[in-house]
Amino acid sequence: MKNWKIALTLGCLCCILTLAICIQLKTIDNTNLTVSKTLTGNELRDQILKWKEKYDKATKELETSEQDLEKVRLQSTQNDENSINKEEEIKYDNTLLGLTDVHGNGIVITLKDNNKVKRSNIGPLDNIEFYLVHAGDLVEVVNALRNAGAEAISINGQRITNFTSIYCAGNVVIVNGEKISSPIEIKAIGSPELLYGSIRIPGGYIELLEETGVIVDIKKQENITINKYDGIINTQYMKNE
Amino acid sequence: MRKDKITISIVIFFVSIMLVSSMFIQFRTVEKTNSMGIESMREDELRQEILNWKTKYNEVDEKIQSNKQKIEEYTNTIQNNEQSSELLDEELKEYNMLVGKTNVVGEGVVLNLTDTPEQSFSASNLIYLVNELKYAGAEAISINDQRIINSTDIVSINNNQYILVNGERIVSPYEVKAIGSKEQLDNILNFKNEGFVPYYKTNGYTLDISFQSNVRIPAYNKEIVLKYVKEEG
Repeated sequence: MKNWKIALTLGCLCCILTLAICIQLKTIDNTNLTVSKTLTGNELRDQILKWKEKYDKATKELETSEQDLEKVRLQSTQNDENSINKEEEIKYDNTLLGLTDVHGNGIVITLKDNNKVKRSNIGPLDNIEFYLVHAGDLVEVVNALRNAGAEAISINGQRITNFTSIYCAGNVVIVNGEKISSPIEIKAIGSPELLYGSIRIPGGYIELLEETGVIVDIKKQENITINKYDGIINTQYMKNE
Repeated sequence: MRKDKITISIVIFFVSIMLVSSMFIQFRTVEKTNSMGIESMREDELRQEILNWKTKYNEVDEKIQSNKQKIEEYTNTIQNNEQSSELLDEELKEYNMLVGKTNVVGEGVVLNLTDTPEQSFSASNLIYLVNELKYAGAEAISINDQRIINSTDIVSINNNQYILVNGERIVSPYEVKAIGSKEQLDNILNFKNEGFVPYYKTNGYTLDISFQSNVRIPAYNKEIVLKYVKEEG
């Protein structure tokens, strides 16, 4: 009699555990469609986390070293007007290159994929591609902003430098090597009136995007902050003449 | 008999706790790796990702080392009460080069784009070409000797009668020059079907491309004025 009770409890427990394990395996399967979770895979993931950590640390160190460099540079140029001018030009160059955080008035553009359009309700002659924001659209908008005199531009927090390219990889857009996707927020510092007026001009690229179905929102805004490019500008092929 | 029962219950209890906690740990790990987007990667993608972080780390590290050296040099000149003009000049030159204020030379590519009655190039075509060149790692770019800097705009005027680059009018033939790795520029621009060169050629445009070991790109020749941005802090 007692043995029977124990067996029953054990059986129930086993059932519950098996169920839990099954659920878990399913979850892992869902999150992890492409990989069989091998040990080497996990080791590789560990390595990535490690390198990323190292990189994060080094980035912080770099920031302090940049500040130190600026300090000693300033200190060493204190007594000579010629040097002071040069020091200031270096600082100015840094801003032009997008290597400093800046703020100022300007506009904020938000571009969103139109989620109301689906395969099931789209017209036979329509194209779902028109309702999405593409890398090429962003290239055009950035050019239009430059044309209106934008002095600093960022897309989803990625600063646009002279070395930035915008391209697509599958369903995401890559800016400065970082993946971004809809909704896309483009910030630009410059004359808010000029930026707004010229970007909203009839026949302009934004109007085209709106007409084809992308959801567009543009706001003038005071005191926008645009972060610096957080990578390193590294050149090895061009040399000063 | 009673003792037996208690032992069995205890054992089962502990085993369950262990199993449950191990399950939780695993859930956690899955969550953590997921947040970095590396959970669903294949092995070769993971290796690529490691390589990416390594290169990024090395770049930062190199920059830190060169900063250290400069700081040391500046500190020395401060201590010896000397002028630091040499190092300062060097730094300034380097920064001006990156901005585009100097003439530069190096290996790279020269593209000649010519309008024909059948097909003519628009400002958009040039914008995409510049973007593709940057994607291929171009370090300096010019179109008809107009240097492309960070504020450069390329726009069509009068329905494509002519194109403005940096506010200067340019007309066909367009000579686009870029300095960068010849190999990488070749890979991207001549990429089968989709690279700029094959894509436009199949669409009836006239263009030619040549890789050269000594491309010269002129400086941006106007003053760059910032009126609206202010430094943080």
